[in-house]
Amino acid sequence: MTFEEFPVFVPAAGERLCSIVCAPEGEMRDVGVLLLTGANMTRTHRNGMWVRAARALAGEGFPSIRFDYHGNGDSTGTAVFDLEQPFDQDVNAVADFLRRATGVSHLAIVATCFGARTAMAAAAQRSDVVLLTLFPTPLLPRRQHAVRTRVRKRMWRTRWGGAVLRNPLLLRVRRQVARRRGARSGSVSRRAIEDLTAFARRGRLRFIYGRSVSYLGELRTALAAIERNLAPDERRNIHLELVDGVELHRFATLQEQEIAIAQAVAGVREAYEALPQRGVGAIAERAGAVDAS
Amino acid sequence: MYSRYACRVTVGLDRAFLAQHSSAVDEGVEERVFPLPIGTDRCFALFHRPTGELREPAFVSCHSYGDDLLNLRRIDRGLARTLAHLGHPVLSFNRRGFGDSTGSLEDATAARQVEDVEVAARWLAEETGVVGLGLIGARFGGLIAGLVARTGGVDSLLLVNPTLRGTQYFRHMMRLMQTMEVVGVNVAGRTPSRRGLRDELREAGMLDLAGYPVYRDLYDELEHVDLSADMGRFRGRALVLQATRASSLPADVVRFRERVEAAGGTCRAEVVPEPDRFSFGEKSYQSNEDDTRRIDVQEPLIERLNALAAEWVSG
Repeated sequence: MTFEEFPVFVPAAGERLCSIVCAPEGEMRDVGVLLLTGANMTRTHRNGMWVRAARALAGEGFPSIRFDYHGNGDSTGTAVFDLEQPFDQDVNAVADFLRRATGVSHLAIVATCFGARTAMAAAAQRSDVVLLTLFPTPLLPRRQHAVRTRVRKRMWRTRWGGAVLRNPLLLRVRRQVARRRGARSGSVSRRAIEDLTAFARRGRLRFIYGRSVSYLGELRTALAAIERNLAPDERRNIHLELVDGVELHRFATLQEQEIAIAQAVAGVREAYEALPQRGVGAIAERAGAVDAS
Repeated sequence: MYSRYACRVTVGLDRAFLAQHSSAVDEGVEERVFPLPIGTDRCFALFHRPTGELREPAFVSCHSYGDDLLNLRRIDRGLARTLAHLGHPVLSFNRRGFGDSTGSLEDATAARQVEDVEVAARWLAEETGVVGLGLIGARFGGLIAGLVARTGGVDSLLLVNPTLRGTQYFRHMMRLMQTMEVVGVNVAGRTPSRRGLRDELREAGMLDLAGYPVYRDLYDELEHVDLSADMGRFRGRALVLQATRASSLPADVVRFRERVEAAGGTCRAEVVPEPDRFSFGEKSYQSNEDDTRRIDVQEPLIERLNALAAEWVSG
């Protein structure tokens, strides 16, 4: 084996975050990686995707940590997953722990969905994060409509209403309608813009999106807003990579999982090789199929 | 920013620091995480050890398969903590090839998964000195627990929505995949029929079921397993909790109960009403069409299951 793993509890704001530190058996490189999941995922991610990513990273000399958010998996606490109030406290605790356990001075964060919003928030606060690799995440601001909310509450109280609201097909349709409604407004989360702008001024920011994912439109809106706030050399820190034929959101195929792992490792390797200088070039958008083999 | 710990300068592992953070005690239970060696592999293990007097039996928790490994984790952990608070040591672990454990899922035949549970049970007995053995399992975990219990040496079974017939679980996964396809989630770009999926499994040896590989060997091993017809040498106490919107137990759970009782054991089986916004096996945190916020919809069920388990184990 090229790695050694250490299950631990990371203290965070009075809770315990069950985490796994994965360390290379040989030489350790000075970039530690945090692997963040979506809201309902435990630390392994779907089909152990982050387990495989961690071990692949260790194979290249990079230590990593994967963990359960508070209120989830084997961690203690209770949680509400709110994109506008991401779990940067959890991430800061885990990041500090990884640094202390391994001595690394640079960090990279690889994150999906809710994890991506959390990664943005934490990275904006820290000067040791050199790379964010972000997979698709919602960026629209929260919109509440009083009448719709009241109607939903009443429906939940009835058996037929609950069945309708729970129906997966109807839920997906309702979400798509809500997204289109939100997208037409042209606005994206102010918090996300602020966090991304703050990070992009000093760190490498990679978005890896499936071309068919529904969150791509709002990402482009966000990038346009961020670009306006950055100097030309800062804009070169941002890269958008589009992958054909996949969404890279639910990772509901083995192929998508392998693409995510490959992208995670490639990004960290590039970031390490670019130390101490960081990226040159415009906001680079690369399109086309990615060979996952 | 890094005020939490004193920063070190050299890149390298601090094993002592890691070891210091492998356990914690609160409310009379020590939680300890460690790698459990099984063969040449290392399996993630979480041990709930009561700090006071230990009671029989000690329990091994058997996890489920696929998304259940994620979605049922809080239920598994809730039951473990509940039993530990009542004095029963509980070992939860990922079998080889699953979760954070090493090993290949392709090699995780039913026989090997049973072997893993038996190794875990031996570790538990040696570690605690507690003689009696109980098993906990939800869904596919219930099937594995039942297969172990059939071989003998198990005193108690705590099952939640157990899969009692071998291929029932994989049929459920196939249905899930079909649902995902219908709602537009990319599942390898095809519209599968269940027969087509089974044929593909037989021909290719492996099927990608919504991002989870299912191997033909495991499917073939389990095809004719029916715990409701055959519980082998199990003569102990069983509790089956069935979270459902129906008002009665499924027929196979009723048969299972009859089978256990006919063999001289006892079996309590209960319907546990599902909370409004949650169906067993779904994600713990859910939203409506507002994608930006998700709340815990699983907790009411967790509390109810814990209460029933506590009542049973104390009875």
